[in-house]
Amino acid sequence: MTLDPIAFQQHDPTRAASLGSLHVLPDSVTIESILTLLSPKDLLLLALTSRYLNVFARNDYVWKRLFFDHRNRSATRIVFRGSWFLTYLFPTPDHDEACLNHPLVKHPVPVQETFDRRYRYPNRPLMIQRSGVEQWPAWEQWSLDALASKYGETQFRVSNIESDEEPSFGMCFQDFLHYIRYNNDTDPLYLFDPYFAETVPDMDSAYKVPKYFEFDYFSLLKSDIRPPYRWLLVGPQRTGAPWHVDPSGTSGHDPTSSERKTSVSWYLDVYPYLPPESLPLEIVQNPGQTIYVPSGWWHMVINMDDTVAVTHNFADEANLLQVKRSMLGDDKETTQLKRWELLEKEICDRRPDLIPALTCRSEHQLIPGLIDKGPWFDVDSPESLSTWQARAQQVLQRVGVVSNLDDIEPVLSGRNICFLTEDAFVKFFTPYQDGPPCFSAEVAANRLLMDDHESNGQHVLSSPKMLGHGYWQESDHATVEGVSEWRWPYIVTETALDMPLFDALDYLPLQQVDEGFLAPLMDGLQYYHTLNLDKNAISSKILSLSSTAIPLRLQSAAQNHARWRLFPKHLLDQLSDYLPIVHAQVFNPASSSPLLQQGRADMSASLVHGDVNPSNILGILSSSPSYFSDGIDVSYGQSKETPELLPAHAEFKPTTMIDYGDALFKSDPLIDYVSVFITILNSRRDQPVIDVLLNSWRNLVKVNNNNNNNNYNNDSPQKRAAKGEQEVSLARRCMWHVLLWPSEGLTLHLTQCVPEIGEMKTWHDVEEALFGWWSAL
Amino acid sequence: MSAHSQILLTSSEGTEFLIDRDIADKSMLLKCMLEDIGEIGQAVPLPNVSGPILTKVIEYCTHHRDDPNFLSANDDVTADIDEWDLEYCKVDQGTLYELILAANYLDIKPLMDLTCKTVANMIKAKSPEEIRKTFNITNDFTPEEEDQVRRENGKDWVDEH
Repeated sequence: MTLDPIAFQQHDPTRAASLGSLHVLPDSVTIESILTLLSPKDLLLLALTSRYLNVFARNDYVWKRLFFDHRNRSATRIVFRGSWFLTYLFPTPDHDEACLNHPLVKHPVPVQETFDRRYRYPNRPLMIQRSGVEQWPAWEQWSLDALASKYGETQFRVSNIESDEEPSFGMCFQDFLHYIRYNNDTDPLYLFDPYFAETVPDMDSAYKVPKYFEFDYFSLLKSDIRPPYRWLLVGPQRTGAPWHVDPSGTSGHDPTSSERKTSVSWYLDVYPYLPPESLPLEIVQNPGQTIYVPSGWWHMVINMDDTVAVTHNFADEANLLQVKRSMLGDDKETTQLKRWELLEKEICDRRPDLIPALTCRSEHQLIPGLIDKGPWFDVDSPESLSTWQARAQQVLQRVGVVSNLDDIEPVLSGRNICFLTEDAFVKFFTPYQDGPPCFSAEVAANRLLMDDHESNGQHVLSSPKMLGHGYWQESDHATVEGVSEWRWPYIVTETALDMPLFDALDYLPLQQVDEGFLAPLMDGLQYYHTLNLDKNAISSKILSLSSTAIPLRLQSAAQNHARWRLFPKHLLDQLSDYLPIVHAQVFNPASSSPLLQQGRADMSASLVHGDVNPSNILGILSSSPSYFSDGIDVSYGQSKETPELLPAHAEFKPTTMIDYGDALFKSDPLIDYVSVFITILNSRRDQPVIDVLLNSWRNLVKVNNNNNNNNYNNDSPQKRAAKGEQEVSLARRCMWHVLLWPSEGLTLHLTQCVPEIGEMKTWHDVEEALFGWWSAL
Repeated sequence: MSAHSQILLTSSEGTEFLIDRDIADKSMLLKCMLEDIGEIGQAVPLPNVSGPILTKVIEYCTHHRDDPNFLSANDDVTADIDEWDLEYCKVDQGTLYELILAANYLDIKPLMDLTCKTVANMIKAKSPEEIRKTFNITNDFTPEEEDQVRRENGKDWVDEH
């Protein structure tokens, strides 16, 4: 699928809505030819109209022109504020105070807790305005002249970025100062010394690491094996560190490699030609300010003035996994492995809660017996891909679909190995431990839906017809011998033609979610939830797999979250207190309930999809008749080409659900509500969408009461409360389902959509914020 | 070069336009092309410009045919638009944008300046809501975003000036 970027841009409905009729003009014309004609006030008002125009109106090319058109030509100084926009708003040094208070300039002095929640764990950089540097003895004593008079004879390490022969050498400070004063080098020499504090112990006590960074796991190592972690930097203008990412294992912070572009040459040769979307974050660091560069962030430094600085690299809780990965990944240096082993032992002794994150390897989850057979299921390797392609051809043949090898396309789908042809879709289940239950669930769900379709006809949401499936053997027989013995668990379905919601989302206006497809989707789910299981036999093996799913999830929840570390530490610490003691508190179906006598029985759904997300819902994307007068449907699916003209006002109509690998039978319908709320609604709590969810739930209760009068407890909550029965709120059960979710994707998506969770104090706060809306029932 | 020679242009739908060379020269694109390759007697295809728009463009160039300051006249973008030009730009938004695209493509700077200035005047001295109405812009900010943009733009600053 290829698209002309400009044509594509002009038919992007998000852009079209945001720019209105102006969307027919290329961005460059609007910005460079039209916006440059506006006054600053008009630009600022224009910025308030929409997202796109906000970005356009803040284009720095426009503000640079404005600045030089309007500037006071008798002013002796031009104080650049990091962008011409800010420079225009605050043109003179008198505006320093206002500039510091501007929302785009963030110099807070956060308390430790805020720093951890907002910056350390989310891995975000921060400039700290006042971290106590002014109180350091170094603030007074580390001027260039003072250093020269005190340590003039002392030798420091100096880097020469231009020399391969002698990239670093010793030089005494007074000679270096002399050089600073008289040099005209484009890339000057840079004093860059990791051993300054050992050479001059005085210097160690002249500064203090800001409180946020005091603890460094590397400090647990004895000094003879601890890698260099701090550097004294002294350099004239134009020195700096070229683009680099801090070595987490820090075998050496090495800016002297001559292959890299120096800071100066990058600024001269590359920077001016960068398109706006490639520009880095930029900030001017003034004396007394500290910058926190989180692990993994590429950064560069150029000294605009003669500079004295100290930099520290450290391993803390937030970057420990990156440190581990980088140290173990360094196969050139064996000391790194040794360092890590020592470190891991120390950490495990001190912080047992970090053990799951440090020690779990994915192989541990493999089914025993398959561990040694690694390479043949590594779908990333080309040999293994062609092997699997051939297997796909075999299983397709078995169900009567003939395909050329070339037409069998691999599809990326989580851990499973999937292939798509024009007619059929093949999914081989993984040898990981969740492979067998997923396989059984998917086959059973497909059978159930096909049987129901046969007797009751088409419903709101269909599923692609299952053409055939393989078998699961016990793990010790799971070797692949000859073709005839090929019995790996796989499933073959017809190819679904419609478009995944995931792809359609780009073209949909936000309100389409509420009005267009949420209600039909919930109807479709209700059909699953209320399928009649009596006529459709589900084997007792499958039912018992389903009934153990929630207990198993509860068992592994704490361990999973300790491993994923997606929620902030203070919440993880409270996790075991918040999680239920017994699984029946989460979901307690009427039929086999030990708590039934106590009155609580939860509605059980015949079929719970278990993973309702935008990739698993397919549908038809069509233009809205009000926009195109002829109202022609423009639709496409997995196997068709993208229409040339994408509709400007699109609608999505869900038609098909796929992927029943997480399906559960006679289980909690709330699982699907949680999945819809987080992955489809991105945890938006707007009234219209919440109303759709609540209405759908009310309907489900009604249908359930009609069907299962005998099973369901009809007492009102008040009556039950009067009997002294403890009811667990729907909000809490939903929150528990979130925490019990067996894979990390849902949590990851949630924490990205609702970053505020990082600042919530307890799980009750999170529960109330996410699911408080249930109380409107 | 004869001042009376004529050039044949073809619009996107294939309609042919015969214009005088000095009119064609108002377009830097055509001028440079004709100087480079000479008049080869074939029609010059303009696949990006429709017939009606090309007619409008020719109308503009013909009106300003003898304008001695053609290239420098509109350098002062703050200057008022003269009456003929003002009347010329009284077209619907779609046509106006097509004129911008055509002027940009054909590289006729005074026409580009005029049409862009006309659009800029439609933005000037309006509230965000009025701008949205004029251009049929959807307010796609979340309330939080709108609030943030308001703060970042220095609302006080806007009101004060």
